[in-house]
Amino acid sequence: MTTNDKTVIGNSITIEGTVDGTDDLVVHGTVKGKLSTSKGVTVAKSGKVEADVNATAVEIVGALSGGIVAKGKAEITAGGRMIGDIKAPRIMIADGAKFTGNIDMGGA
Amino acid sequence: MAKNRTPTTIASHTRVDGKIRGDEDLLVLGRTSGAIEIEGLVEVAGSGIVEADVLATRVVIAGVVVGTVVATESLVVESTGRVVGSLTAPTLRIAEGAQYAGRLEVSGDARAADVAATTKVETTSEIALPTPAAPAPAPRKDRPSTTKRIVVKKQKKRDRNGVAAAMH
Repeated sequence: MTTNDKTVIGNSITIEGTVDGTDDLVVHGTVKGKLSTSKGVTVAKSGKVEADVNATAVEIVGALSGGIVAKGKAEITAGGRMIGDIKAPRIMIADGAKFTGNIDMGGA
Repeated sequence: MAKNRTPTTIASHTRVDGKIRGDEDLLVLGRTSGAIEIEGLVEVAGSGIVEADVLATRVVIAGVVVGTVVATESLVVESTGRVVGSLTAPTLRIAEGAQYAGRLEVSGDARAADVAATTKVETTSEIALPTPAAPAPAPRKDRPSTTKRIVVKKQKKRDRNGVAAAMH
């Protein structure tokens, strides 16, 4: 049997609801609802996520509308678009990324 | 069927609650509940648990499915598959050793049905689902059509030894 510890949502797939677990999650398609994992979430270039995201690491290459809470790093790459608040100890917003929202790095 | 570099996979430690739809293949190694509508293949792997109504072009069940499954082309329940609910497809194969409780509907040529299941399942608890799911919708008894129905009783013995192999 396939041993696959990565959840992948393909281009043409739409999920309305919640996705949670302990696998890495890569979204090429559309997710509306809530994403939660103890590992990483990547919103790929074609990905459109309208959801709150709770993960260890979050990478936005596509579009995210919703809040991010990351235990580790939250990153919006060049070309990535995000509307929402980010709470993470390490945050990177690349040159060329679009971001509207608040940032909380939890530091003093 | 759009072939994708990254086939859609629900990994074994992931749970999706809600509706999944699209037009590419879906592999379920983890759990889903809600509804699945896929133009393509839905494969429920041995580790997969689907508590959802499934509508797809082709369906292969090697794990657990609780719900109403409709395949527009073909439906296969592998020997490790366990199903509670109804199965509908123009061609249907249930491998020897598979377990199911429910009803089968084979539209079109009934000879395409190849049932070798031992059909031992009598209760959903035997399938060891963590949460018992709602029973399958009541059968529509009076729909007039050319559809031939095969209702397999719980204790029915295998009547076609090893025929499943011929379908491989």
